[in-house]
Amino acid sequence: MNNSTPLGTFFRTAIAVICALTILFPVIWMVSMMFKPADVMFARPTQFFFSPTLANFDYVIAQGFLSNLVTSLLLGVISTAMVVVIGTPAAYAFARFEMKKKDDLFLFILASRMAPPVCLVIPFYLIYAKIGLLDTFVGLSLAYMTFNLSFYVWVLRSFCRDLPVELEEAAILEGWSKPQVFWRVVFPLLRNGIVATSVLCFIFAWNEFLFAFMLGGSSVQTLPVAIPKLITAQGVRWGEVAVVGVVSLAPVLAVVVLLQRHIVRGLTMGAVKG
Amino acid sequence: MTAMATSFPTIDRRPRDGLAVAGLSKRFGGNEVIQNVSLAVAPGEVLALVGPSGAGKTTLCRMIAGLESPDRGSCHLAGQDVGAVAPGDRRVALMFESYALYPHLTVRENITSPLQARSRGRLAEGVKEAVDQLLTLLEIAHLGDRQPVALSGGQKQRVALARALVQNPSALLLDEPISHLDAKLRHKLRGEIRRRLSGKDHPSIWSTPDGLEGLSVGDRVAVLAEGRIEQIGTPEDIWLRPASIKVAKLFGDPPMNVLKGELHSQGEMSFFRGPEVSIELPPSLAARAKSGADRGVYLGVRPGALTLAEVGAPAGVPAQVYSNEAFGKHSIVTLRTGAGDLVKIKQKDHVALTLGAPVSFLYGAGEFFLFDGKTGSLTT
Repeated sequence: MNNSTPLGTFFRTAIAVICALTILFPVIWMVSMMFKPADVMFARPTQFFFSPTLANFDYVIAQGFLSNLVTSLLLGVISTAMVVVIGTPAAYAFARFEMKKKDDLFLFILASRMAPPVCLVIPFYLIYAKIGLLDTFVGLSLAYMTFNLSFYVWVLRSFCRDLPVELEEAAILEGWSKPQVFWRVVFPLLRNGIVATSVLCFIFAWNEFLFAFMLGGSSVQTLPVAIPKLITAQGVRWGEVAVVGVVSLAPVLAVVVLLQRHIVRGLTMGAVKG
Repeated sequence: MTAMATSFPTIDRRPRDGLAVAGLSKRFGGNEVIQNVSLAVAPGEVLALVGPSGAGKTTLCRMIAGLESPDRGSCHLAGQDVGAVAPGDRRVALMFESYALYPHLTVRENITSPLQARSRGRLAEGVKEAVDQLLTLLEIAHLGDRQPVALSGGQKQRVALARALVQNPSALLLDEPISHLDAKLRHKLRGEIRRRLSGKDHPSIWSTPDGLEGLSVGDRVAVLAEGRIEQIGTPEDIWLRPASIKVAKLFGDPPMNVLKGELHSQGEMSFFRGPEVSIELPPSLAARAKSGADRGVYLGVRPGALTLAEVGAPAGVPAQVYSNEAFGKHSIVTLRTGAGDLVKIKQKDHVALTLGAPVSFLYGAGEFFLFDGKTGSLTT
């Protein structure tokens, strides 16, 4: 690739820009809609230049979307935190310890994720109705946790198996206790894997609609469930939908950008022996 | 705590009897990788454990450390049966063949990790000096703050070695400790480490696939082949009286030439008759030859005991030049005999030879070794 002429470089860059624009166009469109006044929203021909307005934001805030945002954030963070706390030792145990029927047990954990969510939401609803967890924060975070836990354990187990067991053996021989071996040796080496996997869990909880819709309610309403409030009797409020859409995108983007280093390392770990 | 801090290195019990394993066996699936191994190492003694790769050296070390449990047999450390003692409580320092360095810690942190474990996180006085001294000895003093990723294979091996040497264990097990170092450093460290270990009061095992390394570092040498101890003895023993062909072939650079043949006696004289050769045996071997006249035998000759000769020289064995390696102070010529055997000759000077050229070679008056044709063990 060292024989690049200025013209070749130009063409390659142009192609990359065109590809990026094609992929990003819907997002750019949505961002522009956020600031569009209602009267030019669908004007023909399309107006790319208009005087921006913040009216869409005012309406969204007035409708109480801020509390939906907080609910979604808290649900995502708390359910993911529980998954990490419970799932990390579980994945490590599945990777390292001898136990009876380990493979069957593991397959069972995996199977709970394989079932279509819509099959599980009905029993969830019935059970929650009986024990009074419907429309509660605890109920919904537990539901997300059970769902993400199987995925998390499944993925993190393979990270654990990629760790050379001799590191743990060396630490054991040195005289470290088992919990110390986990904290001193295993955990630091798993960190990238934990970050990458838990980001995926967070994104799942953040985007989830079905469970939030069925098990939530007026007191626990996540962002995806709240969006239909913008479909009013007077019509769809597209500008406001765009605002909520971009806001939904922001935390995911922020997480990915902030933790990029870990995620890329985590996702490529095992691909190349280091 | 204060007592521990003042006495570095920390020893809470003095090894009295060193290390002793008896009847140790281990099976992995259908493979018996260790078969009835017994050996003892005294405090301050270095036992060189020599064996080709796959002989079971690593498994033996892992069993002593407690990482594998033996199917049969016992292991005593400092007079105490450690069969039921957890690996962490055996206080065995094991240098892994794969180094097992912690990737997220610096070289210095890696080396002090075992000391921290034993002193509950706080390092005793003098540890830094001890580590510095080791780093200097191993020529990695400039790498103290690097992480293992930034090290070459040989550097990693030296860090692992330092981590093992810094401890004051009940037994020190070095699994191929200098195999990935360059020749100059190997020479230096063989002597230096041996010196250090001899002054300690713990027993040491130094495993290596290199027979000559074993002879040079071991007070005694144990030869392991296919999971069995072939011979345990002083380096002189192993060199002068190798118990079997397997042992003989492990020691020597290049390894001993071994020919299959038969013994014949004519009056007072005994002859070894192999493919195309008839060699008169010295009187010391002749006595043995008479007792085993009818059996097949193997004759072992070290490459240094053979000499090259002109084609057609009297008593010369005809052969062709197969390869010719110059090593400076000596050269190694490999010949192919008419029977197709490869014979190696080690000689002082390098002679220019054309590959494939006909030559002949002579069996000098050097030592011969006679091995039983069936069992491969040295005839006595």
